[in-house]
Amino acid sequence: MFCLSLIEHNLRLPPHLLNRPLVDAIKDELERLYLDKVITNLGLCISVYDIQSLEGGFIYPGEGSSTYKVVFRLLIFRPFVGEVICAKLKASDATGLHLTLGFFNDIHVPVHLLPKESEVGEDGIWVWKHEFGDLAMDLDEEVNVRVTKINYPSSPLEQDANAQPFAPMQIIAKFFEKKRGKRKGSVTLYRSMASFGEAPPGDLKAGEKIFKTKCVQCHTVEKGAGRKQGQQTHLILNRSSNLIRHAFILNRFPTRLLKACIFVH
Amino acid sequence: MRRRLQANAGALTNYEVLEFLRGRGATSDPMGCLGAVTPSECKVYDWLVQTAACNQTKESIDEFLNKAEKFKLAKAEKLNIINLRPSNLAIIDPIIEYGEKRLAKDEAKGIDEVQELVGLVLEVLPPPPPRPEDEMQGQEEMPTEKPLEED
Repeated sequence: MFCLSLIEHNLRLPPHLLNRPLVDAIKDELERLYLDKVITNLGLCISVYDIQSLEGGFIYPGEGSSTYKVVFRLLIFRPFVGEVICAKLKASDATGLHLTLGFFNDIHVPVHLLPKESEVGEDGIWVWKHEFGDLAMDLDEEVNVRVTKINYPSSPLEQDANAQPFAPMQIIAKFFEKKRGKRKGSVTLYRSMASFGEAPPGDLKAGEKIFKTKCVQCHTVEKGAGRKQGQQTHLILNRSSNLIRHAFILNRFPTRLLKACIFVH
Repeated sequence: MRRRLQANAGALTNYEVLEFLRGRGATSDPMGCLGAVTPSECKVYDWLVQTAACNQTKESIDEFLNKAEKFKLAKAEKLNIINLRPSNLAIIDPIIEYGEKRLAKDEAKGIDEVQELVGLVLEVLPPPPPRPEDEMQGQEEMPTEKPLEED
């Protein structure tokens, strides 16, 4: 999501920086001009990476400072189209999801790029109703989205007093669902649970089928057997009269959702 | 005044950006990085430290690139995998375009290249740092009975 850009700039060095070493002064001036600003079609400037060449130093007629021609590289934040990024859900309303990366807040997943079976509730929270259940996209959760486009709108001439702050760079992203076709994403069973007690009652046949097709490649059930693949899994055994409930809860999933595959033996 | 000579003079992994900012003097302590880096750079550093890039090393990335040669991934896909460190099939699926056609999957012969790729990622690239909320959740749900599988 970061890249370098080579820029040539005719920089006028203000006289109050004359007492500083030249390269430091030029770097400070470039940082003042570029850092934390968006250049159209280039991206958000994070940092001045290095200065490749410096020439000039002429004082033009009528000016009180020297002008240098600087060629330098800027560290730019600009995810490429098709990149998958992991962002936090900051706000959610009828127009879609608004995600943030901490240092960049204008990632938008519009309604038409959400999964088809989604609905928005009254509180603005979107719920994805898929075949294995409902998944609520709660605030402060991390989601993986794929970048589809980056817009650089031009500054508005007029703005309402209570309008959203103008965003010079907007990333439009898509909330991907599992792909159609032979290879199915094996982790489509997302369920956000705060505690084990909230889990729905198990369905014997469905659960066993799910386990045998999807989970068995990474997890085993036999007592004492080693773990095949995957880390940070906890197998929780809960005996209740004649029933044994196996619940697999995957911790530390990047999207911080828990996957519960519950079946009753 | 300004002319862009090359809009894209090279992509950087999150790890390289993190190293660059560390070299400039950024730290997690916001007061500490006042003089060395600007507040905006500090924000980027704070975000990068929470991602998988925090624990990565040059050697692990080089090793991953060498071993991933056989999958013939595009440069952008390798970059995405290094940045995101997908730990299972569901996350790696959207990263690789036309995965069904490019990476072989033959259950009869026991070949599953996507699974191999996931295995390679888990083996070579270090995991991201644990988040405090996840650790607390894990402790709450630990049952009194002995779990079947050891971690």
